[in-house]
Amino acid sequence: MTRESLKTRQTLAAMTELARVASIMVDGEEVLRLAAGRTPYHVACPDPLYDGVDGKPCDAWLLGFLRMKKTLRRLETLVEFTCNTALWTNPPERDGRMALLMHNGNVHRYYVFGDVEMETPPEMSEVMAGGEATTVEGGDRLTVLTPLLDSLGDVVGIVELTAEDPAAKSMVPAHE
Amino acid sequence: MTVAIRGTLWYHFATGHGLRGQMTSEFTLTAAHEWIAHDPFGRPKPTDVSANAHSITNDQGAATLCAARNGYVSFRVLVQGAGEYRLSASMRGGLEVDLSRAWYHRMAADEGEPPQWWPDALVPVRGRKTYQLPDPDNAIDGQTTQEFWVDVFVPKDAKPGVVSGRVRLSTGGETVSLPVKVRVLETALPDEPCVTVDHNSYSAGMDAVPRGQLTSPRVWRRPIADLHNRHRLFHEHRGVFHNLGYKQSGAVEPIYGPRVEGRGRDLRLVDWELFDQYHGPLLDGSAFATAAPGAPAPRRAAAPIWGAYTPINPIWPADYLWWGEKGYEVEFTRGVRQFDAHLREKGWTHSRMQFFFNHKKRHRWFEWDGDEPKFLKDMGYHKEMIRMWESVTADSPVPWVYRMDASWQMKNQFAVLAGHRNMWVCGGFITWYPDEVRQVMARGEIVWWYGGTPPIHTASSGILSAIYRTWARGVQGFCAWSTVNPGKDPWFDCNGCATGLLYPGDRFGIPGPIPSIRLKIERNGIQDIDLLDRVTKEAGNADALREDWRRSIPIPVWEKPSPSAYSLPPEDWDSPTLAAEHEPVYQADETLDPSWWQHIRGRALA
Repeated sequence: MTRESLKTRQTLAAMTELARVASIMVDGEEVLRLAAGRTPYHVACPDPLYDGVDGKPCDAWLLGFLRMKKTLRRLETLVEFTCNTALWTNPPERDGRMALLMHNGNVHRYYVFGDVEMETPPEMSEVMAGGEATTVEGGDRLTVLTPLLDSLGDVVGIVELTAEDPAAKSMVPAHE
Repeated sequence: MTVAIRGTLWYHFATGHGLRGQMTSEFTLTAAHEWIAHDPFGRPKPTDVSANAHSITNDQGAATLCAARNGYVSFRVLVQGAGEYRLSASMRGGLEVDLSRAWYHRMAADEGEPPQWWPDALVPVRGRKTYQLPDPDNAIDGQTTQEFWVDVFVPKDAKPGVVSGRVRLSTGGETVSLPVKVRVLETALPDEPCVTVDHNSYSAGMDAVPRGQLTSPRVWRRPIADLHNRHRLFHEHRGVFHNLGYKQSGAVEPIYGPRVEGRGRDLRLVDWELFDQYHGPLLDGSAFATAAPGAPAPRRAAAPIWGAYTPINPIWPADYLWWGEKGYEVEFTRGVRQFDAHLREKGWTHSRMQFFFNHKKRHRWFEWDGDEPKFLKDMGYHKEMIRMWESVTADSPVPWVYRMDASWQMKNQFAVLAGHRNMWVCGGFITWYPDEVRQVMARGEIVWWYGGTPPIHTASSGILSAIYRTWARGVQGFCAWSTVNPGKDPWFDCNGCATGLLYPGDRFGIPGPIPSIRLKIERNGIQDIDLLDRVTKEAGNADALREDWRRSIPIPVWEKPSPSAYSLPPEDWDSPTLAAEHEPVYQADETLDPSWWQHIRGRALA
């Protein structure tokens, strides 16, 4: 094993432990209440005539969002490298789609600027169906996807943890 | 009519647009108005065809123009024919000429549709370069026409009167000349435009840096040079340039802000080297002492930039972890105080430093809108940020402003944020609030508005409408929201470049950006407005005269709000409800004659 791949394994191990903590600390019931006002309606029923209208009335439950963002921020500080978080859920009546509810930082695997919804990647389907965390490598990034649970223990979404692969030759050019 | 002069055939032909040309046995040389583009086959762009004559040539075939001193006058030259040629231009009387070859952008077309090609990017003509028609680089089957752009600069000390010059085309042993006559006016353009036309952009365009070299000057050398060159080009075209250096997430790239070290009471801003390399020459003005690569020597005086974004945002310099708590305030005020101290220490106290929030909650990083707030409840965040910012900058010699890009809640925000050092950049709804805008300006606050840039295929004079609206509203500036991103392939799969007025010059061996025809037309329009503004002010009743202009120019300046805007709160507005576009997308006015600006130019140069 090269020094680089050893670092990659160590990073993934730390992220896997962080994911275990995240699944416990992130309250799935509260996460589902974050989108306020007409946002859930527009996410569930995009207007085909007015592309982007779903974003314009976007509102959030201020205190809940802030509390959750702080929780994610705290989780990120549990590891010694930059590891950003994102919360994804399957919107009601939108089979096969995942919607972004919140994220921190700019190290992510799935988010494409401006698109807050995407087709469910196979690895996310796996976590949603099986309730087990999984890891994803490639693209100079390391990701752990861990289930987001509600009060019954049902999987209602996913916590994405993504970090830059220490073996990668380049990095995002921003101060963290 | 065909006449022979000095062994060269002069061929006068009349088209529907009054073009007259000169020709050799192989080539024709024709002058065309700056607002009429022609395709590579010599056909005028349909959106530029005016009911009014656009000819700029006199009966002798000379291009005849009129210009104020300390400014530019421009026209197009069409080279038509086949084979190799050289083109040059010169003027007497100390007037300077810049010649550029236009690139024909292949516009994106639906499958099965023939492509359209329209000129926009301008490649400077350097030395005695030989060109070919058809141009092998532009690769247009059957190309018969090549447009060139001619800028004539009239120095401040030029002697008023008619000055002659010519554009020369040589091919083989033959030369054909297009005479040019410029009537230089007594009047001179002011050094500073009366309206600020801003060109906005985001980040340095670096997707990634080599690991471990985040703050390496070598890595940032080219991005910093590119940004400086963009500033230079816009400055030379009587505009300004803004470049926001943090992302929606709040992440700051190192040329826009120093590194934050320590937290809480120990927070410090360190490693200013890259920030200084980028900002120093802009904030002291020295960047403008030299030209962008390929551009002529600067004609405008070097001066500090109008203003700049700062990196301050919800997660910089303070950690959002403690937002709403004393820990956040301590970090925020420590960081902003150190930022202000650095500017003062360097003597960078001339440019308006903008404390601005760009984030929108729809991108899901934050629970409140920094940019274009939709919900009035979010104003609590702004007021708290302003309170902390003012607590450490109130007595600073740095001209700080709180920049607020307002749209949905504009009217309410004017009231809620009254009493601060505000700079408003208002969306299209500004058109509904003439009285409120006047009141805000009477408070001494800065008011700009923002919008989009016309794509290449729309009327060439379309870019002038934003300048007119700015002046007619009596506000200080206009911000084109995205101006240095001409798309993935602006050369052969062009999306219209509505987000790019500059192009990368690398394709032509120029290590920096190159300008566009739209930028040239915009600059000439700013000049006209500067002259019109002076005439209006000298007449002593500026408001009444501005009102006269509003009646005579068929562009709405102020409008009644959409009926839904009266019955619904802004929280419930959207484009379908209002039947009004909210996004800053250029809306072409199909009813406007392409020569509408002539009314303004005629008065400006009278």
